[in-house]
Amino acid sequence: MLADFWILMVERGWALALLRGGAVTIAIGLLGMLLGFVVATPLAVLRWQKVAVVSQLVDAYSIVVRGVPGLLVIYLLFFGSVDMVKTVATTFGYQDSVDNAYPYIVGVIAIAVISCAYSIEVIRGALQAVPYGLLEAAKSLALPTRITFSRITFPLALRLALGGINNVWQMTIKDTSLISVVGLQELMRTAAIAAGITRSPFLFYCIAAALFFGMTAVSQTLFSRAERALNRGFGGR
Amino acid sequence: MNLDIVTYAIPFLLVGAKTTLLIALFGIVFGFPFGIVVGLGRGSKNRVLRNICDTYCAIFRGTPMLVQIFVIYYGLAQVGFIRHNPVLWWLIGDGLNAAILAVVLNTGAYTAEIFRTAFLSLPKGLIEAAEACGMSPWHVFTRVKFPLALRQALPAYSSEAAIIVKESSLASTITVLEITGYAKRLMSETFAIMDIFIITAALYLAINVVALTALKLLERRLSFVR
Amino acid sequence: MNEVLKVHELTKAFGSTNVLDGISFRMKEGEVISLIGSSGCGKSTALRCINFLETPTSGQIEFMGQAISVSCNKRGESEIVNASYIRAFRQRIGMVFQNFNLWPHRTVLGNVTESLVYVLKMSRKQAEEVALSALSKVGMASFRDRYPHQLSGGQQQRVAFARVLAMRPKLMLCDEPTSALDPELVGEVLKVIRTLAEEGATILLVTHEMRFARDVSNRMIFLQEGRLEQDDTPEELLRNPATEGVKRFLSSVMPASA
Ligand SMILES: Nc1ncnc2c1ncn2[C@@H]1O[C@H](COP(=O)(O)OP(=O)(O)O)[C@@H](O)[C@H]1O
Ligand SMILES: [Mg+2]
Repeated sequence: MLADFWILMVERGWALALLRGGAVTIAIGLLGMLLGFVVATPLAVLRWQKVAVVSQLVDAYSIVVRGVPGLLVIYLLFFGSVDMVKTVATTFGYQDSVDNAYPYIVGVIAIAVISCAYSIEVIRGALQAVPYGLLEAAKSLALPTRITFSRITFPLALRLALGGINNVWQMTIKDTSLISVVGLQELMRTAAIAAGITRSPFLFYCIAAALFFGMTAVSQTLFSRAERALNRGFGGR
Repeated sequence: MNLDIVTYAIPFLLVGAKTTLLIALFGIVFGFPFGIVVGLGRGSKNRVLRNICDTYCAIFRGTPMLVQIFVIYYGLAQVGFIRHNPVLWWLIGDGLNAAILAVVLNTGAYTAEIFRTAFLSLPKGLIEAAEACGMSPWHVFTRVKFPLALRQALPAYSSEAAIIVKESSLASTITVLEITGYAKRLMSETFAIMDIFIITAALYLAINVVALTALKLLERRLSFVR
Repeated sequence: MNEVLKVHELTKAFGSTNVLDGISFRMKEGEVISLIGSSGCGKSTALRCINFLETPTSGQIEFMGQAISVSCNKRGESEIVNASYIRAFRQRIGMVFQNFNLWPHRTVLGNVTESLVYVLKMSRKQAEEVALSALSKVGMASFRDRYPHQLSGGQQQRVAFARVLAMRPKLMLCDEPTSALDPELVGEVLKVIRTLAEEGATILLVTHEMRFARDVSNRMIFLQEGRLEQDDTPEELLRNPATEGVKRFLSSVMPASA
């Protein structure tokens, strides 16, 4: 039994393949989350300021993406971009390199599109939660609006948002598994391939589950620590 | 938008919607009480029970739903003992049943968390007041703790219900065609990606609106302040 | 002496309710005025209109010779004349809040230097010097590196005073600066106000500490339902209440013995 496991994992190389898949999962999750967050921040600020038209568009985007399954968003982006990318690539003669990189790029974008919607809500909620009195104090001292935002509102909101950002990140890392359905070789896809070839789906899907569990557990710990460090000024909340 | 595609797609999506609703309904009907029981287990004085419930929640909240559904449908089917037990085989051998099982187990873990915090947040004084007038522990639970925790938990459970509807889409990865499964098929058949997406999204949003409104009404019915 | 503040026919309505109903008064340099009246009569709103945290519905505020006037146009919207003065007003009018409003992510020193650097454009080094001297004035210099949550309410309020003092304000607005404090911490904040008053600061103070107000103020202004009912020296106002309202208020807050 143990010997079989050893052969499967080490001699046939599945351990390495799974680890590589895990690395792809983390990379796509991080890049997607980061991209989503960078886009979400200005959108959340505009939404918070209730800027006309933009606010409504941001709301519509956020409601749709948060209201439909992640799988559907991924299908939209993959099927919707396939033709376009193919044409561009063929015209310029980069067929091969684009074929290889394309799923990764769309994968990151899909994860970004999903996590961005959730990040917008988290950041906007945090901006709204900054006590108004603190901003009035800044106003009464004649601090310029831009300085008030960059040195008081935003840093405070970021600390308030940390718990929510953690939730979005946990969700995002789990959502990366959905990309496997369009063939991107991350952890889940690797496990599925291994399950098919070795005919031991139970083993490989459990290993995938364990690796995902490890990722969420580690990031949970890291976030809790960051939260404690950053929230000094809030009475250790 | 192309009208032909709309009229072609909608019947398929409505068939899918039936499956989506079926999975979600079972998810709520079984997952809700199951989650409450597990949530209570996590607050139990029995250490073994508490650890079991904690571990279950940690595992199902810490891994993607896709992995869970694959372990249940493809993984467990490989285990001889399950294959030879007619009841268990019925439960996981059929895609729809396996999907429902996965959704119930998944939402159960999240619901447990919602109720655990709801029970924890009850003001101590209210419970002491009930105990002080001589209520039995069972009565304290059924007459005071549970009604209060339920009201506390409902808003969070509303979002969980919306999540159940979305998570039911993963059934399509184990051959059960629900809304998203049909949408994928229609997208690759018609190439009208955006059109199909818009119709499907509208369908999901409609289901969410109905579910959230129902829960909002329930919340209002249960609230003390009208 | 120079006139610092002139409030002329100040009106403020929230929706259809008139919270301030044509208030007028003047403050000379070095004067301390206490604004009194029962809860909800519009004291905070009056203060907040002076530095435009609240936009008046109509009226005129003249501060150091610069006037901002607000009038109601035909569509019922407020029109501000000289809105560009608002920043200048705020720069030289300090406000102390009931609940301190210190920024929780900045140290004591950071709370004070912020406006010195970004409004008065001081260098960081110069700002820290100015901030420290303001902090020593309220006895908080040794707490410079603490965070607000590590301080008692009284200490936080003293830092809030230092934050305002460092800007060398021509007028200080204090909205119930001791109301959020535990009784044993009220004294240390009142001491700061008394010192400032003795040094010639111009202070418009909302307070429920009637004895303190009587001792420290040059004048007392009584508001009722947004109207100014009496504007007198403390002795005069306490001895000869001008209206039934003043009399009733005084007997409720200063029973017989006072
Ligand atoms: N932002 C606001 N919107 C509506 N009503 C307000 C607002 N701020 C104050 N008020 C009302 O104005 C009145 C005066 O308030 P305030 O100036 O705070 O009174 P005081 O400080 O004298 O206790 C109160 O009746 C209060 O309810
Ligand atoms: Mg007030």
